[in-house]
Amino acid sequence: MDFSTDQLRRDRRDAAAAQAEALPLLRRLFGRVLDGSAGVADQPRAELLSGGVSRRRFLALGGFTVATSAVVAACGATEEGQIPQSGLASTTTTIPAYPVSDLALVRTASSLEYNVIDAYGALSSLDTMSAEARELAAFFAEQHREHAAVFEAAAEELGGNPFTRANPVVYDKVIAPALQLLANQGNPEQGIVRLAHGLETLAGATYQTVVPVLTAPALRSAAMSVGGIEARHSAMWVPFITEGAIAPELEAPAAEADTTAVSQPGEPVYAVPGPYGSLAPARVQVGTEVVTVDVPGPNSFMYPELGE
Amino acid sequence: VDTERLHRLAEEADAEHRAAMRTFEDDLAARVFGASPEVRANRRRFVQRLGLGAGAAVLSVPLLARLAAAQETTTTLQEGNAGPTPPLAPTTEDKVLLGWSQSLELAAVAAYEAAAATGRISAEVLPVALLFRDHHRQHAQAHAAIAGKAALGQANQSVLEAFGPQIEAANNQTELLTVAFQLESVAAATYVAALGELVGTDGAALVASIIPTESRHAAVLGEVLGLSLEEQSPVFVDAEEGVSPAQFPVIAG
Repeated sequence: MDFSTDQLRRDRRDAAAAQAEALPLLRRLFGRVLDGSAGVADQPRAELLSGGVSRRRFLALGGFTVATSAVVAACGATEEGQIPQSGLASTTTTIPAYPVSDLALVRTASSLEYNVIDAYGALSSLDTMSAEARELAAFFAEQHREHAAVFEAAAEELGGNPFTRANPVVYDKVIAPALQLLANQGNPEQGIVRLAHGLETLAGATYQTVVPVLTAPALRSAAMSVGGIEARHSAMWVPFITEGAIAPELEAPAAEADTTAVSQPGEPVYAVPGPYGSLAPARVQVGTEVVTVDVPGPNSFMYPELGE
Repeated sequence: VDTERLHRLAEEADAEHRAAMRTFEDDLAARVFGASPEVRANRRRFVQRLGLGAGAAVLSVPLLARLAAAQETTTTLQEGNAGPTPPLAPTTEDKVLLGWSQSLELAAVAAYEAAAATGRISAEVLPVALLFRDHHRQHAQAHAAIAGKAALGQANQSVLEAFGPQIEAANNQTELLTVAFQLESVAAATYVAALGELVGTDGAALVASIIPTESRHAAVLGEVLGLSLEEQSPVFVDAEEGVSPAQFPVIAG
């Protein structure tokens, strides 16, 4: 082999110097990404951290370069403390520019619990609600109070103020229009129980949605200790619904179905809609109308910056 | 330069590289995992206990104590967060726990099949039981997909030893469905406990998608059994009511 020893030494020295120069920069880069001062959006940061289980794998990943370049592009030429914007960040202008923190999520959770409590109060005041349904609503409302208390305590543990009333965005966009729709149609009982079912379904889906976003395993556990109960609530409303059934797989073929008890055909509702919890928008039929209700997103989170 | 000399130079360069990277990795790990070496060592010990049947339940998750522990780490956290941004992929410990969860699901499959085989479930209820069995089978497959080799593909023998005799001793449908109700409730509680341990969000998201379905199974069974509202719907899914790998290792005995 024809190598020059001096050249090899020079090359090795240059490589060592380049590495020594690059490592502090890398450390600072990772530090800024991880502590949030780089203003990198959650997704590229998550991509940067994917595979973090194995630190060796993390450093050796082929995709590392791609993810890093996206982050670097966001970080580049930005003074310390500034929040750079990149194409990876959300471009929705109506979403508040606050960080989606654990605190924001637990405040949102307690606010949703109050939404459901208030909705049960409004529904229970309607003459058309049966005594049996009213009893179930009162039972569930009490449990939602307990759920709200958990998330209020969590907010305090996180160093913030708990949110102790209904979520105004959810009220304005979901609860109030649904109640108005019910009133317009004479508050039919099937509409009432379908709305109750829809709200519980939505609450359960919301907790499922936030699990991957919460940073602490204990918070995720708390979220689903409530989310699982909301799922039970949802299933327990199904027997009150004329078109309610246990599962789509168990439905009788349409030609053989007993439709004699159905005064007005409605959308089927299932106690066990599928093998996994669904994050799809809940469809709530109120009389002849079907309202589609999405899981609350960032525009309805109760960020601590918004105050109580 | 002879080959031996070249090897020595390469080794020197490699040693310098490793020395430089050692601190980098540790710094990065501390920031990513937000845990002290002691915490990480504890997690390793937790995994080592899995499946050995030793010790008390290790999956209980007192929320506030955990939050306090998380806040004690020296990692700089985003304001309002309890921990650093978690990784997406499951950790090695996650995979072991998810693999064990697969054994729980396969035990549920076996339990429903044993219940069906007794012939004591009515023709009206049998399709419901078999559907729930199928859901558990799907959950087991999902665990296998994420846990990889940590999923052994075996029904949890310890769980079957606990529930099997109850199924065999059941005299009628009500007693069989009561066992099923307990099994579903325990499964959901176990997953709530597991969420307190899982680090990677992919595994956590899977578990979070299973909890609602197993909770709904319990609600339906509770309805069929005519249970009280309180029995059908406790205030919380209580992690303390779940089972742990230490209590119920995959291989009994």
